[in-house]
Amino acid sequence: MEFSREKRLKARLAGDRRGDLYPHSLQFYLQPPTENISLAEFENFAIDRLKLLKAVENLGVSYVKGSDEYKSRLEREIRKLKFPFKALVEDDYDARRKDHISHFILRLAYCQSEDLRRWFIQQEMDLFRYRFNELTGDLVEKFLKYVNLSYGAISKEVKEKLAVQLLNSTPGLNGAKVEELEFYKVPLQEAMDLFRVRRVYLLNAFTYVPQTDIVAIVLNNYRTKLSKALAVSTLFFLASFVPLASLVN
Amino acid sequence: MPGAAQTFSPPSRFHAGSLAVVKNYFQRREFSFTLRDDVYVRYQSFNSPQELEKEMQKMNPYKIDVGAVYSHRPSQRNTVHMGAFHAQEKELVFDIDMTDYNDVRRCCSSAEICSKCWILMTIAIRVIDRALMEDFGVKHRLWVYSGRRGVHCWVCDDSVRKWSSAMRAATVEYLTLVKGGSETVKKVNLTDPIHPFISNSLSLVEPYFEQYALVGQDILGSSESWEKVVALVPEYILWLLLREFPKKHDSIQRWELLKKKMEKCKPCHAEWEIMLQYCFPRLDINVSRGVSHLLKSPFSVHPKTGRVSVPIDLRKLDQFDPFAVPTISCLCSELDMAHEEEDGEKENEAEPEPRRRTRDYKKTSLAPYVRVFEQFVEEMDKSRKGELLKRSDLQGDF
Repeated sequence: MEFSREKRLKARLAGDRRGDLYPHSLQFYLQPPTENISLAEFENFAIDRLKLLKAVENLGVSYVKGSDEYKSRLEREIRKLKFPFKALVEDDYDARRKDHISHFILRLAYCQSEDLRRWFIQQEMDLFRYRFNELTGDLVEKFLKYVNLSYGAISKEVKEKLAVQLLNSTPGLNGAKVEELEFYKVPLQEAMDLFRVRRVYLLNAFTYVPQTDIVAIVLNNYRTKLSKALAVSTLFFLASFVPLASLVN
Repeated sequence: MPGAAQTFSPPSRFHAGSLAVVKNYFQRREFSFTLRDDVYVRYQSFNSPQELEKEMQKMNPYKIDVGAVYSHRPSQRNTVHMGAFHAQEKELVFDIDMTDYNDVRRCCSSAEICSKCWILMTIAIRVIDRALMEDFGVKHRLWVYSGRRGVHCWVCDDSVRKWSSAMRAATVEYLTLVKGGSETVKKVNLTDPIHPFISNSLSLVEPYFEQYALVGQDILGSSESWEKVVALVPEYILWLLLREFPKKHDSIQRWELLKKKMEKCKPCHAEWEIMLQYCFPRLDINVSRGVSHLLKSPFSVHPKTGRVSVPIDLRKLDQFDPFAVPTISCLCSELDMAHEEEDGEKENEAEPEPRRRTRDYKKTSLAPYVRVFEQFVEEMDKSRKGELLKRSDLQGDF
């Protein structure tokens, strides 16, 4: 009892610094965690994340990804396992820390083979996609800036000027949607899959990507980084962490 | 831009100057020579533009191709360990060849061109150049007559030179509207909404369509030719047109009829689809995609026609006449005449060879084309200096 009260007090005093560590509910997991944790926490974190990723896989099979049913069930799982689920929830530090550490532990477990890597990347991407789509308002732009994909959203004036072109170049939109959605200015090279098939407006080496498609670009970026990181992780795994093999089997 | 090709090539100093920015750029550029009896020699590289010229005079290649800038000097690639030698960058190039339009032109047989079908190249240049400039934000584009049946485009922006093979292929995909081989009847299919690239291109094609297709090619002039056109419209309109066409007098009248019938048939776009199938540029993706793909050098002489591969002045695009492009024999006689005149004057013995040659070709009909090239290179130099200034300003260098 006394122990946990002390911990909470320390946490409140450390407050701001910890908030800086995890400013968003999601991340690209670029920096590995550097603290010390107990073996019990290590195991629990890993097991919980594995449960989460398995839930992501099962829900993706039973329901249409992105459908309301899918989203509500996934949210339930995330809450149950105490992972970050809502962008604006205060005091989310513990959940975000768990998210961070557990991801890196599982990386070591799942880098062992091509099949394991593929599975891990697939579930992590689906989880990321869900969380990204839950970002509201200007959180998308804030997050993009945070991960150095600073695609600026175009202003209302620019959007009005380009309204017709945006409407005609982006399938699935109508006038109202164009007004409602944010459009991001993405350099040509980062939106190759979109401009290649003329699904975006292209002007002066920039594509104008609607909010609904920006996730594809961000996901692509995330996948590239994660694949590279897993390849590196394989080396670390071979050097140590043999016990982790038991998690997977 | 790498050095140009033969005895009449512009002074190499342009190229040496433009390429001084990156270390060993010229030295790591691949050239290939096609010699007599079709002997093809690849991975030629040179220490300087002068050395290239000397080798050209020695070997007398029929054709000179320009390739990529590699990680190491191509001529020394065997000294580099496997896998390390690779193509680093190259201009983005496009090759538009008249033979790719054989299914839609009636004026010539496959190997030939005439003033009637040349308009297809004019249209192609207008459409692609607009897209490169406005959509892709590209500044430095050089269009060159291939010497026989088509045109090439060299895109030289620094950033574009570093593009991956995937980016180049994606660009060609974006620029492609006519799809399908000989078995495909309808090669253009438009669905709403119409992407701005398509509507922008259409507004460039439309002004040429009547003169080119209806008058020049007379695509609705006889039942044999209009049957091909009518195969591209919805079936119920097709029968209507087949019935009504014989009553009209010429292609122009028949086209008006077709347009009128199509008006009642929205959201179909057969009218646009026909225009695009008959006129829209057809690119060869294989030429553009590969970073190491070699392409004929500007100013080289086409072995079959003797014509020089000259740059095209876009400000006078509609007046460009491939049949007025100088041939090597014509240039030779012009040079001979120029020398005869000079013999009568006092000649400066001490004048360096390259300088004298500069004066030489300026007296031939190649001069205006060289001017286009010089301006192009000047623009690139200006642009690069601007970039360096900007960068040094940012860094606070004074």
